[in-house]
Amino acid sequence: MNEDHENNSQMTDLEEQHPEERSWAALLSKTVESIPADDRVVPTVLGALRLERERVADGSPWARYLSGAAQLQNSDFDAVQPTLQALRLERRRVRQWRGSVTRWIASAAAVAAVVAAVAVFAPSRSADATDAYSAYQEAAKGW
Amino acid sequence: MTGALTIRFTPAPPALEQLEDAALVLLAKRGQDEAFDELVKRHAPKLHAVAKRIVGTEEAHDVVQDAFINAYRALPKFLGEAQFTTWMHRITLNCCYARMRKHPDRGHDLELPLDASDAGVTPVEVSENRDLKSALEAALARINKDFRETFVLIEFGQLDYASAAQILQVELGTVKSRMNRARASLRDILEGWGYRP
Repeated sequence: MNEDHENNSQMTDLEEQHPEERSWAALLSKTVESIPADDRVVPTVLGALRLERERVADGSPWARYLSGAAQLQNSDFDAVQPTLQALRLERRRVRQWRGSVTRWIASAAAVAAVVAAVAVFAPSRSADATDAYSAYQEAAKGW
Repeated sequence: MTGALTIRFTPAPPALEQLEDAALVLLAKRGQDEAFDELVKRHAPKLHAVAKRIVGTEEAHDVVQDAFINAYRALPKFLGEAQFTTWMHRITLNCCYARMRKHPDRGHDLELPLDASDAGVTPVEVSENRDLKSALEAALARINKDFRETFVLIEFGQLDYASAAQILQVELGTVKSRMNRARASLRDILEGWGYRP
């Protein structure tokens, strides 16, 4: 792969470059090659895939976090406890927030019902008043 | 006794590590999860190297994780028009962009710490090598985003120019031009800091 990569790079533009540019390009490539790749990402991804396969909460950050916490070494357990406590508090906060939203929606629905009732009955009352006034005028003509 | 004992040797299936990406994709599509795991082992470090230079160290793990989850879900739709590595780089870049849109105000920690695992010969060489690596990382964080992406895909992702053009959805000439300009920008910065090839 590295050889292919080098060949491709050389075939594409290095041959068009001046010697100084070429030496800079070589230096940059060599430096990049000397930077080791981080293999630690592999277990993270494999863990997420396992969750995905088990369809645990759609690989959500919560599930991933809890799975990651479970995989920690015993020595890291002390660090996990406060975080789990924070998670519990966070869940409680979310539940309370959901409760507030539900109450707010219920109140808004009640207000909307009152407004709708007023809107329905108000024109009929107005019509009654108009009829009464017309009758009064008719009667007044006879006086 | 006319019947001869015949032993029929069935060749053992090749180990997953020996298979090419296309074969692993095929097996993964047929439901062999170990084949997809092998693809993860093979490509995750390189994709992480790319993501790290675009969204920073902190986010790179999540980006690569999201990219592979997305790829796993979309695997049945992957028809193999592109190489698996090209497809994965495209997904990873999309995840990087999504992450940057989600947290536009988050400073991506692109200026990376010194790397402790150098393999130089003398302490002076180790020191110089480490300096240059750090300087390159710092310089990369300062150049134009398009140039950086192109340089990172080609140098860290070890892609050829045609694949990079496919991933970035630009012409091959644009990739060449961006690569030259990325090198020129990096050279200007590194020369300013006293580095010479």
